[in-house]
Order: sequence, then C-alpha cells, then structure tokens
Amino acid sequence: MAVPAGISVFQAVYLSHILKRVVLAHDGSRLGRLEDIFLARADSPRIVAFRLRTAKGQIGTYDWSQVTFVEEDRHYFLRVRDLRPVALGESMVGLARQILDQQIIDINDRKVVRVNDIRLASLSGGVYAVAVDVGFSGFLRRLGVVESVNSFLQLFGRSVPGRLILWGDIGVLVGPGKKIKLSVGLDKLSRLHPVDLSAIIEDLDGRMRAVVFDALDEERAADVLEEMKDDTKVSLVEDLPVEKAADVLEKMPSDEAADILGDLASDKAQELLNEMDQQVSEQVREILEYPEDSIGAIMSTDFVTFRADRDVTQTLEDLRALRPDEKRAQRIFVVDANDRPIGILTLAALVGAAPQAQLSEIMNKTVHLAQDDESLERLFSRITRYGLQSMPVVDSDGRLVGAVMTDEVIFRMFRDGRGKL
Amino acid sequence: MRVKLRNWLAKHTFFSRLMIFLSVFGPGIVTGSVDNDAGGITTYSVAGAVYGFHMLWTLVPAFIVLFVVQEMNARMGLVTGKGLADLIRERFGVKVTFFIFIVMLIADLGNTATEFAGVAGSLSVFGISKYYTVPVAAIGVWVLVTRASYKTAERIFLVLSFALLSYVASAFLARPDWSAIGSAMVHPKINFDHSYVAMIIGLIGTTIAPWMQFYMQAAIIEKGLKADDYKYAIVDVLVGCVATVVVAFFIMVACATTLHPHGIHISEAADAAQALRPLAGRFAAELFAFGLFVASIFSATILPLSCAFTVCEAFGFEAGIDKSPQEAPAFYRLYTTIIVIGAAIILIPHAPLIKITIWTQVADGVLLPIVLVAMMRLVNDSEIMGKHINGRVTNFVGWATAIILSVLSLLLLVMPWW
Repeated sequence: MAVPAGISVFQAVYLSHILKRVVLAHDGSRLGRLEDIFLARADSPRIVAFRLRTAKGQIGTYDWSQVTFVEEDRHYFLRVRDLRPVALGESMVGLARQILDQQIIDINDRKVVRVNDIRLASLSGGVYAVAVDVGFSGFLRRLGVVESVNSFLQLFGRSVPGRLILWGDIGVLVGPGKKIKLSVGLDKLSRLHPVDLSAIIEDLDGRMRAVVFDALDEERAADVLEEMKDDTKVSLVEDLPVEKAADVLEKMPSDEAADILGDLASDKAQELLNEMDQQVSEQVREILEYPEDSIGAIMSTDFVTFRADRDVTQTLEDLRALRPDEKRAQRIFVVDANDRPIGILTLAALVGAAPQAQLSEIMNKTVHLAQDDESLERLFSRITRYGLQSMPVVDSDGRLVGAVMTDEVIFRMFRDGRGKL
Repeated sequence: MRVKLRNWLAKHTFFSRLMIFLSVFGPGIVTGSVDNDAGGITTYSVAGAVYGFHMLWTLVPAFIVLFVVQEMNARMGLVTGKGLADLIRERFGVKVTFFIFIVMLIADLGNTATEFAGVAGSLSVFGISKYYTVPVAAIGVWVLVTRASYKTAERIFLVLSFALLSYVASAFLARPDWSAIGSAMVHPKINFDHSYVAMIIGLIGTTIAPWMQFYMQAAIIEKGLKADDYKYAIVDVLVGCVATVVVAFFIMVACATTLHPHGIHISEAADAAQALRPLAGRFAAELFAFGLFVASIFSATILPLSCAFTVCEAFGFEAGIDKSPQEAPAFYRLYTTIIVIGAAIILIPHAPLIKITIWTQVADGVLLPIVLVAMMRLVNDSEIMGKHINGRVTNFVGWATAIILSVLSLLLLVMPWW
C-alpha cells in the first residue's frame, strides 16, 4: 500500500474509529490491526502502549510514542515510526479489554452507566483518554451507523442523544476479573450523599458492589449500608473481607448492626462479632438476644444520661465535650442511682434554663417507659395515644437500657405491614 | 431471612435441607413451568397428533440439553452475579450484542403473539371471540405488570399451572399402548422431510427457549443467590427441567392416543382439547381451555417483561419495573410496544394461530445455537468464571447441541429447494 497522499494528523478521535483498524509502518507497509491501547495506570489517562495483531495472528505490545494518527477519506489508521516492544505491566489498563463496554459510575448523574466509546485527544504531552461516551450515540457509533441515523433524525430537527463524561468524573471501574481504582474519581464518589451512593451500589452487580464499597472509608460505608435494602445489606456484608466488615459494623448504631448480623449465618456472625471492638460487640450481642420483634431488638443503645443533681452549666459542658449527633441529642435522660430513668431532658429546656438550675428542676418528669421485651404493637398504641417522640426502654429491673424513637417504630411497623393509622 | 431459617432448623437435618431448598427454589421451577406455555402446549400437542409416539424420543436429548444449558445459566449467575445480557455485552461488544438482541426481540415478538394466541384459542373454546379476549388480556397483563405486584401474580399462576397435570391423568386414562411407546422411543419411525425437521427444531426451541435462559439467570441474581447455594440451586433447576419434560411427555402421549389414530392434526385449539376427553369426558374442552389459558397468561406476564428488560440492559438503557416511566422511558416504551404488536398480530382476521405458534417455536430453535455459542464462550472463560469453567461433559453437550441445531436449521432453509 503506497503512502497515502492526503495525510493529516488528528487532534481528537474516538476509540471505536481506530480499534481494529490497520496499522502501517513508516514505509507504508501493513503491520497488522490495532487490538488495544494501554494506559500506564488507571488514574493516569495517558496512552503509553498499544497492542498489534499481525495478519498471521501474532500479538505484540509496543511503545505508543512512535505512533501518529492518520486520516484519509473518513478512514482512520495508525502509522508507526519504529516498532519498539514494551513489557505489559501489571498496572497497565487496556482500554478495549477493560474499560470499553464495562459498567462505570457517573458521579454527576449518580447512576451506573456503560462505556460505549472512549474519546482520545492529542495534547502536547501525548495522547490521552479524555472522556467516555455513555450515550446512545456512542452505541450507534460502535455499530457504524451514527452518522446515517443522525442525518435521518435531522430531517425532524432532532439528533441522537449523546453523553460524554470527563475522565476525571468517572468513579470506580472494574474490568473482567481485575480491580482498578481511579483514585481521582473516588474522592468525588465519597462526597455523594449516602442515599445516592447506596442507590448506585445497589445498581451494580455483586462483584463490583464489594469493590466500590471496600473503597469507602468506614464512616461513609456505615452510612451507606444503613440506607440500603435489607437483602443487599446482608449480601454485601457477606462479600466483604472480615476486618472491613467488622470496622463498618462498629460504626453503625448497634441495633442496625444487630439486624444485619442476625441475618447472617451464625458462624459468619460469630466471626464478625469476635473481630469487632469488644464494647460494641457486647452491646450488639445483648441486642441479638432479644426476640426479633421486641423493642429490645429495635431500640438504640446510643443515649446520654445524667444524674438529677447536676446543674445546667455542667451538663451543657458535658454535652459539648460529648458532641452527640442529632439523633443522640433526642435521647438525653436523667437517671437515679440505680440507673432508673426519672426524667427526660430536651435541649430546649437546657438552653432556656438558668445556668445554676439543677436538672431535677428542668427535666420533664412525666416519663412513659417501655419494657425491653414489650411487643411493638403495644408500644405503637401507647406512642400514638400519648403522642410521644421517644421513650426510654428499661429491663425487668427498671434499668435504662435504651431508647426508641417514634419514627423508627412507625417505620418498622409499616415496613412489616402491620401498622394501621 | 433464608439464613435465619437455616440457623433455626440446624438441628433437624432433613427438614433443614428442605427448608433451605424451599427458600432457594424459584428460578428453576418457575422457568420450568413457564416453559409449558401456549407455544409448548401447542407444539407438544401437534407433535403427538401428527407423529403419534414417534416424536417422544426427542424428549430425552431435549431433557439433557435443557438441564445442561440451565445449569450453565445458573452457574454463570451464581458466580458472576451478572445477567446474561450484561455478560454478552461486556465480553462480545456492541456489534454482536446488537445482532443477538435484535434477533431475539423479533423472536420474542413472535413468542408474545403466541401467548396471546393461546389466550384467544383457549377462550374460543367457550365461543368468546378473540377480538374481545386478546385486547382485554393484553391490557390486563399490562396493568398487572406496571401497576400491581406481578410477583404475587407469578405465585398464583405457578400454583394454577398445576392444572397441566391433567394431561398426566388423561394420558393414563386413555390407556395407551405402553409397549408401543417404549418401542417408538427406541426405534422411532423417522421420515426425514421438511416438516419433520421443522418439528424437531420447534420442539427443541420450545423446550429450551432462548428468552427463558435470560429470564432464569436474572431470577437467580434477583434472589441474591451465591456460589455457596449452588447445590440447592441445581436441585431447583433439575426439578424445573423434570417438570417441563414430564408434562411435555404426557401431552404428547395424550394427543398421540386420542388424536393421532383419528388423523386429527390440530388446526385450532378446540381440536387439541379432545386430548383431554379420557380424563374429563364432556369437560375436556373446558379443562383444556383452563390449562391453556393459565399457561398463556402466565407467560404473557413474564415474557414481554423479561424481553424488554434484557434488551434494555444490553443496549444500555435504564430498565426495571421498580423504576418510574420517567426514569426508564425506553424500557416502558419497549415493553408496551412488545405487548401491542404481539396482540395486534393475533387480531389480524383469519390469522392462523396454530401455524404462527409452531413457526415461532422454530424461530426460537434457530436462535438457540447463536445464544448457546455465546454462552459456551462465556462459561469457558476463566477470567469471567474463575475456576468454575465448564467440565468436559458440559462442553461436549453444549457444543454438540449448537452444531446439531445449526445443521438442522440450515437443512430447514435448504430443503424446500432440494
């Protein structure tokens, strides 16, 4: 094949345009076809190598720096100045094999999409993968019909919807069998709201789920886990390595952790409980001992207690040091020497009181108590009758062991289909 | 939930195993029941009526192939956690995916039409015109799937499909010549002509319909089953396969005993109903209509849904009945289109329902090798399956089936010109 006359070097091209196309040597002779092109690492989108398949079927990997794009009559091919073999490194990522057609996470739209095509650009430092095409036009381009379809649609004043995502906006990718993490995208991934993250993770298949989840830090992972559907939660915890699962479970409210552990195989649950922090593990074990539908199983052990003779200033100082979150701040109780609840404390009462006042003066002395082995139905009727927001839960000795929030009870009742308003 | 049962019953080994099985079961058995849809009942009935006992032998290889194929699907689903459409897309790229799914979409339009043909045929036994029954059924199914919980409906249909066991009773009551059955299975009289080849392909196609393979793998993933559940999942698959083939066998025997001797070749549903006379006497027609109706509605609920879902997955559109029409427009549009076209085909005046049904099953049989080859490539790829790639026997059965079916399909195309 003679050297083409009208050669031009291109600034930007799609992977689908050059994949499987002819690769020419400097003198114009045909070397083979382009099988794949490689990045050095997942988080560095510069192309460093390419794979060639000769007419005889031999495959080799070569240095990319010797390559230029050539375009002639809407056909693209590659010209290689010098064929220099390179070794295929462990961390090298093949765009065709490992990224094309795989699922990725679109951070901005917060959903899982599939890579239909990849956009490459020739910049001063080399050739880079700059964006992925996840839209339908990318799909049609792979079939080679996008231009015809577009011309057809233009008759109606429309065009095929397209969607490009910048390389930096991509979340975690997993190729067949291999794990690749794009650390750039991962920060952004973690900044998503746990509800969005959990929806995304639920959309992924089993293997990818575990990888993405594993990449989150424990705090974030615990939040995300709480938002998921029960089946997915259990499935996910089963798939995680033990240390990671234990770390995540520790960061969750004990009653939630107990729910998940209760649904696991007992040997797996034991393993996790043993791996978890002693204190948390004990709390969880206690909860697991409660019958499934009792208050003990759904109450929170996350509450704050004070003695009645404490004054407001001291209490506020203590609370500042403790820094309870919103939920915990709704469970502040005053207890006697035997840990029996004698009053409920609201932040409003604390803030509005005189600094030297004692808690016994400002606390709400009307305390409705729930028994830890009481049934949800009974509790529900009491809560609705008295219009309560939360109730302290006591054991058979009358000791404070936890607190239930009304909204949680209602949530449970409706989820299980038992509540009737 | 399933594991809680496991713990609680750990002391009673038999019961605990049974409990685990019951919590895992579903995909295989549902697929097995749906397998005997309008297309299945019709094809088996026609096979029995036209060829007597001399098509029964095909059920043996059909059973083996069915089990092997479904086991591969189950294994792929358990190991990868991905649907078959996803795997095909990820491994074979856009062009192959596009080709396979366009063909499958066309085949499934035919299959949907077949289900509505079943509805029309079954209720025509009561004299109700298809112009009433088909639109009502189509709208009913559409509303059921998009508005209500089709899962509950699935369970109800599953139970109702036990009505097909009436064929077993009928077959026995017809007092067939069992030794004749035996010898026909071992030494079938084979007349290798065009319609015979078509019938074989149709039988295989209806027993191992490609759309069912996608459905079963998706059902397994939806159940959240893991590689550890393999043993129980396989029992589930096996039970499903047995159910399919047993019902098929007795449908063929019943029709062979009651219709074949009189040369009745089934040109409409009422003919096929006669096969139930031994059991139900005057009520044969009603009983048959009931069974066919349940089978048709059952499949009409699942098939278009499964098809729309897998095609959207393959092409990268949002899909899922749990998503709103705003979130997944392509899916809802496709689903509605499949139902509308399927029903419309049947409403064409004088549409030959039985013929359409049979030839759709043949189309399935022609599509099967393509999907099968794709599956074989996937399930032998250790990057995807890890150490769970195929064994030699599975590979042999898989490739042999693909080759034989392809050859038969080619013959089908070429024969009229011999």
